[in-house]
Amino acid sequence: MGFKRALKLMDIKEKEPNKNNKLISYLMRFNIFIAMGLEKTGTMALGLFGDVGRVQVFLHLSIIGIFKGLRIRKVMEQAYYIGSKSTVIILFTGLFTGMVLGLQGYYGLRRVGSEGMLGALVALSLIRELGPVIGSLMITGRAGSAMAAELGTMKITEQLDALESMAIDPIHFLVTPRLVASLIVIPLLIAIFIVVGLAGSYLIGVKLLGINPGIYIHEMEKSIVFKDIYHFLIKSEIFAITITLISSYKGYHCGHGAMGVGKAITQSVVYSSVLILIWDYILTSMMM
Amino acid sequence: MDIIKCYDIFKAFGDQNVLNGVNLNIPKGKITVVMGASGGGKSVFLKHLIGLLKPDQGRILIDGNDITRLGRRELMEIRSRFGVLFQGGALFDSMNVYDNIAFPLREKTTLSLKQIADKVKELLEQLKLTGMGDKFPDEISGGMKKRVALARALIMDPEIIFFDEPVAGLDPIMMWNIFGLIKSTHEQKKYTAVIVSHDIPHIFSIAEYVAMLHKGKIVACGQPDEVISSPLKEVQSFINAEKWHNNQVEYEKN
Repeated sequence: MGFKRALKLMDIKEKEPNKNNKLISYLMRFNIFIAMGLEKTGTMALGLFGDVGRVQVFLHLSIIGIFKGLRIRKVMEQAYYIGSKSTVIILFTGLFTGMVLGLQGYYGLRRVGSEGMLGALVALSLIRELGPVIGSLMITGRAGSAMAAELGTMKITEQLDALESMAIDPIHFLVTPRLVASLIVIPLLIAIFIVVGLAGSYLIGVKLLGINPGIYIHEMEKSIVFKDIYHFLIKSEIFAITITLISSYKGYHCGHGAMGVGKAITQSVVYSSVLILIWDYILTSMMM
Repeated sequence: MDIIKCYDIFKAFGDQNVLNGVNLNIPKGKITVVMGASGGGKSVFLKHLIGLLKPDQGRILIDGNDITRLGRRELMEIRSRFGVLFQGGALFDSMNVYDNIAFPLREKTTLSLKQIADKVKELLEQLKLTGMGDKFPDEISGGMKKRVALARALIMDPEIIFFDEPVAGLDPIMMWNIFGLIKSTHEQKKYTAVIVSHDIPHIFSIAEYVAMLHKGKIVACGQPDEVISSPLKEVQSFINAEKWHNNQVEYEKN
């Protein structure tokens, strides 16, 4: 409700201030201001809870779809699309992340005379944290946005309605294969990110900065335990669900026209990225 | 006998009331045209009949089943008796023409690839689309898209086909072509057709039953002749809009 409309409804005339009840008028304005603030907060909270509920239903229906009969061909198509087409960007970002980590790690460790620990530092950082997070953010930008765009375009051109009218469940047909493909492919992409990152840091640490290769590899092997791999797997799977779910949901429920699709893509990337970072904190604190 | 019965359908989007108590019975096996001005709620009404939208109030009975109260599974069963031709065609742009038409058969039947291919080929020939099977939706004209969408709607031999503005945006030749196809396929397969359109007076050439939707209500319905001769101002001003406009232009010229 607009401020002026609220004043009008309460019969307060802005241009005719009455000196006698000026204080009352100010108090009423203050009350209206608070009420409007509460109304906006309430609307936002309702919208947020509504969205959370709808996303949960969306996830529930997508998972049920797996048991209703999985379209293997569609899963393969999506695995190719999400996986193969994201490989180049994962290779590049993985390599340079590893190289930067090698440089920064060396700089930090040399101060305390522990350059030999570079392998362990880089491996732990990449496997437990940077691999899943940066890899997922890259996949969000590449594959998540494409998912939102494709489903959004299908929505505004009535292709989703066409599926419904043919008695085909669009979530089962479109979202379930994407979810299954993401669960398979995204951890693999992140694994590639980590391996290439380790190679990049080896290149910098050993070949450029002269760390003994034996020490580098030994420290790396010694520092990594199964728990770290488990950490990486759990994070990768949770991030895969987050990317697919948010991107599909935003595309599926996009607004009208090209603007609606554009907004859905932007929101899918922003929300997925923020949620990945929030999940990362929660998961790290739970699995420490 | 009426196959679809609508009782007091109300629908609002926010503050805007789109349907204000629609009551309409649609006869079985006939071509029913729901006409009305653009933005008058025709497409919204059609989406209610397909079950894509739920009314705020009212009932829609299809063969005695109230689709507004059905669960998702039951609704899907009812929908498998429908065919729909959407306004823009709604062809799947990731599939070629052949795959678009074959899609419902692949998804909903256990026919062999050979049987599917035969059925699709037959429809392609019937709708004058021979040789177009390999083309993608963005490589064909608007008229062809409508024909492909018609083929996809017909392929399952549905009992009811809904047409949302089947000739909107087409040239006159293609418009008559589509009307001819609707009429010929209807005569052959005897399905119930529900056409939402504002193409007056052309649509009367195929209509067997007409309803006029005005400001979210059915203001007139019956045989085409009855509706054309209706004394209601809303009906006359809509049907004779073109004539009125021509007279106005003539008057201004003189």
